[in-house]
Amino acid sequence: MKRVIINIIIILAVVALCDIAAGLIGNKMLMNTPEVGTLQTDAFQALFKKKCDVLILGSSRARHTFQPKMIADSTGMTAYNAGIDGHGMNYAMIVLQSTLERCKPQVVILDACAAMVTSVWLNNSIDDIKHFYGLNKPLTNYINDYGTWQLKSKLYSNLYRLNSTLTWMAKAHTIPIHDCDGYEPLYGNLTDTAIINFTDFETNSIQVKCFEEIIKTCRENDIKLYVYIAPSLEVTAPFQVWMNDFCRQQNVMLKDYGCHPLFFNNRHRYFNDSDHLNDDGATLMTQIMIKESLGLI
Amino acid sequence: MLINSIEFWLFFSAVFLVYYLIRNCRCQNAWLAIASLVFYGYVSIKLLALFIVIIAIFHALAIGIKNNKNDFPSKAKWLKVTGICAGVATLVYFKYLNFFISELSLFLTSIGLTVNAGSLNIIAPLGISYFTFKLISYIIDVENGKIQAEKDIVSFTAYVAFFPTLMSGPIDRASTFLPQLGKTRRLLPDNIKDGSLRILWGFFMKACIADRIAPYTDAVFNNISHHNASSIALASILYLIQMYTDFAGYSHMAIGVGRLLGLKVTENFMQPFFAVNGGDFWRRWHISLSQWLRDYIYIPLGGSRCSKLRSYFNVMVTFIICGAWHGANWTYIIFGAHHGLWVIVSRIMKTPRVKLEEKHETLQNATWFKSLRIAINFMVCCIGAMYFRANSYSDIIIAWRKWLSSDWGIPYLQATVPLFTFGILSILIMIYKEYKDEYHGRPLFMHSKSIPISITCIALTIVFIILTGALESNSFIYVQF
Repeated sequence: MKRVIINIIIILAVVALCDIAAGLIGNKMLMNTPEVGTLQTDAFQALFKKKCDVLILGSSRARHTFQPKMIADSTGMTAYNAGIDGHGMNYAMIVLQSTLERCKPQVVILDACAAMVTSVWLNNSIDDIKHFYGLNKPLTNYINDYGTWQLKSKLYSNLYRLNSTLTWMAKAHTIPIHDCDGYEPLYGNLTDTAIINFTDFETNSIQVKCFEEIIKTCRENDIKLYVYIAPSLEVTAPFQVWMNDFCRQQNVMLKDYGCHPLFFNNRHRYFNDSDHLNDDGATLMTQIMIKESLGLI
Repeated sequence: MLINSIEFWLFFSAVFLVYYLIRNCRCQNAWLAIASLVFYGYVSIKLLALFIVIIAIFHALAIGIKNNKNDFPSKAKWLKVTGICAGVATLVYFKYLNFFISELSLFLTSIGLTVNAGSLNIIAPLGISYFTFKLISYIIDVENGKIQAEKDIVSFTAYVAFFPTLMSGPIDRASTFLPQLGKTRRLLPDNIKDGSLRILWGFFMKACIADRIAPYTDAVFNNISHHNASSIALASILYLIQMYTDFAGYSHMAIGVGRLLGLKVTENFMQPFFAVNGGDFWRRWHISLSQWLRDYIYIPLGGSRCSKLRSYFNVMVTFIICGAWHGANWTYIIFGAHHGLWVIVSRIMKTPRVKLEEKHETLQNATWFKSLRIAINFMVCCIGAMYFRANSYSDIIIAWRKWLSSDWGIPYLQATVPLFTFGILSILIMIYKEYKDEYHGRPLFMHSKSIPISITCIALTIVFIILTGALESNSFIYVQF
């Protein structure tokens, strides 16, 4: 029995050493993530590097809709699109708070969709960036405040924190480094014309709190906040009703293009798929946004 | 509270500590029974009372059989039949009633009768397929005189509700499990070592392989009409591996937990991918279920001690029941029938194969011939896996249409980077280990007799699992049954 106990102690010691070593190497690698335009590297840029006057937050809809280059060309302000596929209000809040540690944007464009305020993306948003736990203050605070005890206990391990980062990190080093503004154009036109209606909608309290926190942070830092609902053929009517009420209560400007006739009537021209605009649609939407929001500055 | 969750291991740690502080076998059994019922209640509190009632009824029936067996054998037989009917009725009510209602309503609608049949809101008790089979075999074995009825309801509860195997088996027999409860279990170094290594290997199979494959197979099978034949073929191969690593992973962990508690749980898998035909496959795959079906369905039907045609019929019936055991869905029945057919074909092919081997003696030991047989069996099982995973029988038709058409192209490989890097590496490690276990039987890697090698391999396995595995405590495929 004594032998078994000694062996167990040796094994645990080896694993602990590996964990410490992985933490040291992993942190160094993470903080040197190249700028290559993949989702994970863009998340790193948004959390640690980018400085801008106009910060765009949201999900894949934001990522494929708002063009920072056009904003810069039209207004002279620097812009960055921090929208990432399948990420909710919690991610948007962490990005905003991280950006404020480096610079103060003048304008925040928050593109909202139904999944961002429900529980659908609550965990995804954090799972994809959990490797920055301990490295990024807003993320660490978020996990400490809202993370489950299981997640918090697992995050004591550096190995767990770095779980699955090796694959995207290795992939990132195979792509040539280039400046990225976060916008990812989609090319191609919609073939299916049907509108998809969703009726199920239930807000998640944490996501709503994060939304409120974004509004509060913008107010406290004198940042102009515009909430957009980008054009989509996937309509969740209860979400639009909720969003209108919420923004009115919070006294926030909402621009609802959810099923706007300009885009809907030309859906074959402006949509790539039922939920995302193509590059032409994105150009038009960005023009509209510049005119009605940034033109006011 | 899944076996791969933090909650389970915290629960198990508490059970383990108290278990070995107790130095009396009856008290250990009582503690095990309490822990198992607490575990059941934690997962499904609403059905705990029902579970206890079912255990009590079967305990009483077995005692009744024992008391009447010598003096009133017909009464004992009736009690056995009552027990079997009660077990089957429980299964049918909780698992199949809604299926029967919907199929009957579909049938009546198809012949022009308008019916307004809604479905019943029935929640199946946790592990129902496993514990009912345990109870049925127990009653039959008691009546047949193979085992003595267990007088102590506490030990009986510890056997039926044994928490590591409650959700997903293996289906332990009373004849092997109950005698172990008659002795006080002590903490032995061998049990700690073997149990821990089994648990670690189970984790590896589940986290590094099964859960890494799942996103790919889900993406293909949940949207089968949008994928080409190659994607469906790849997904079918991967799903067979996923099924195996998911279920064998659970079994390893359950056996390991049992071992840590000083109890030997039935083995459930034995390198099934090295099987050469249908019969061989089922001697290696879900062994506890296939042996149960052999002993309580196939042999009572006449087994193979009858005409060839009749024995083929027996095989088919057994495998259709095997398929239906998995759930109330036509896809499972097709899965069962497919394997039944494959076992029959394997039997039919036995005579010409033996003749061929006699004619060409070199064939018997030829590696390429054995490899060919293994590959054919593997491919047939992959088709079976497709039936098992398909969401409906119309998806099965779509898959076959695509396979028979010219819709073969580059398979869908998007969004699967972790699978095609560490997942594939893990699959290769597993296949190498199984190959060594199958043909060399030497203790290797973690089991090496050299302590430095063994310790290094164990530590590296732990590091590999944490660094590359899917660690979000995903559910197991067989828990739903």
